[in-house]
Amino acid sequence: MQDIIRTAGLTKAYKGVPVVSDVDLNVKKGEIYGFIGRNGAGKTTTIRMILNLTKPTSGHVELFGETTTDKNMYNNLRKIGAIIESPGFYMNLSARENLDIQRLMMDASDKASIDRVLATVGLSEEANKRVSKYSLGMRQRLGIARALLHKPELLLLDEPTNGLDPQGVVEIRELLLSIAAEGTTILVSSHILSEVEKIVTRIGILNKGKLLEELSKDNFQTKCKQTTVYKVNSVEKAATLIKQYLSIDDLSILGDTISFSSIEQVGNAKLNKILIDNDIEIIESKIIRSSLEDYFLEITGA
Amino acid sequence: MKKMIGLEIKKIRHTFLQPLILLSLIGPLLMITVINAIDSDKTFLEVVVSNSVFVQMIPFAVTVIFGCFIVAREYKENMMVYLKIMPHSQVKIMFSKIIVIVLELWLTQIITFIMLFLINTVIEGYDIDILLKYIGAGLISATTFSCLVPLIVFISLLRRNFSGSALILLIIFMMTFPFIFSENGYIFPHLLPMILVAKSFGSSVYNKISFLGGTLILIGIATIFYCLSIRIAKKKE
Repeated sequence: MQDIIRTAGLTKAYKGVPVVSDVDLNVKKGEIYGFIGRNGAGKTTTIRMILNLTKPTSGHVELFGETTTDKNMYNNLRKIGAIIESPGFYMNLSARENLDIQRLMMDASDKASIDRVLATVGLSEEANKRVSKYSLGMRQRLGIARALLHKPELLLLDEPTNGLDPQGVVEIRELLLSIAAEGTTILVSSHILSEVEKIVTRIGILNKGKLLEELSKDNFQTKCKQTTVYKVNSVEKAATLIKQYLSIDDLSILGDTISFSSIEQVGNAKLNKILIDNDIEIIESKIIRSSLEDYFLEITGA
Repeated sequence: MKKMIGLEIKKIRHTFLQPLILLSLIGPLLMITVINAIDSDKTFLEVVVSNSVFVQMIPFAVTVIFGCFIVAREYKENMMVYLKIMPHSQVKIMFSKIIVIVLELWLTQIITFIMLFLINTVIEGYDIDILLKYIGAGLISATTFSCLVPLIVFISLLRRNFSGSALILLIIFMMTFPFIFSENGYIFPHLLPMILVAKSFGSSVYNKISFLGGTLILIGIATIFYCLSIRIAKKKE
């Protein structure tokens, strides 16, 4: 699959202090790429370098298969929609007027595109209201509308759910999924890992300016630990049986609870039967999968 | 470029700038008319000549506010980063802002002098020589003040703050303003537009500076600050 974004050895240092170090990023066509990291990890700086807003100290960026230069960037920018840092607008103007300015700046002749994107983000009824009267959530949605106005092939969204209430977060998530379904490649940066986890097809984990890992959702799910927990009436007996059945040693007992990690799907029904056949009463049985957050904390050493 | 200028004009809709521009047009006319009514010994033109500095200064102060607003607001409203990801050069965007500021400047300066001539005609009757004096003064004022527009843009790009930039420029003008009444006032180049207009009206105070010398200094100022502004506009982190 074609690489839409590819960075090689991308580095940015301010006064000799690296903010982004040697980042090799690959975003493929049609993906929703989750670019995750703590605040200050270097996500925004990386996005700024991708957009040619910040000059890399070393390394380079390829967009749509071409190394970016000041000259070809104008052409690339016609294919990119973005929200960077926070969505900025002319507060004295309405949403429709702001989008019209954007439309003309992007040389898009189709005025109907304004209604199209307003409908996409659910702001049709508020289109003539001044942006200064908009809530933060509405501004975020309008920011996405602006980024979508010229039908970009690539959408770069820097923390698009920042400051949103839970309902707003869900709305943005659904919106991104519907945009991606139309074939737009999306790079979404966030430090709210639980949100990214729900929509992305691939993840890049950035920590202290370094890209620690890039993995697909399948890879990530495989890597995520699965812990099986049993609450039983006879802990010692149950532990012995489980050890025999699964041939594992890393089993922990806490009170009347036994827990053990398992990478492969455990045959729970069979294990339950074994326990019951040995007169062990199962009070509770559950499987806990570690989240992206847990995985992130594990690999960043936090 | 025409489209970019149109967009810049569109951006200032529903702002305080429209009433402010209107005020800058009415203010000097009202001031001159009142002074003329009080000082009946002088002709209307004599009142204009003795107060030409204020006649020009009020609209220019509004131009400073106007210019600082349309440049610095891009930073305040976090629009600069979005302007930078438009498929247009930053120089073109900045130049369109300069054109809009110059247009506002010409509009206010020319209208002010035309209105003064009309009032003069109503009060004292039509005179072709007086008309030529007003047209000349209006053109000199608008042209020479236009040379200071890159300075306004430069300060706004540098400060990235509307009120801060406007205050700096207005304070500089106010602090140096008394020097306009001295024959060496031209050592402050930003006072040159007012000095040259006073000269065109026949003031003998400023014999030390010629029209050509004053114009060349202003062109130099415009070039320097235009180049510096381009440098800031094109600068990447």
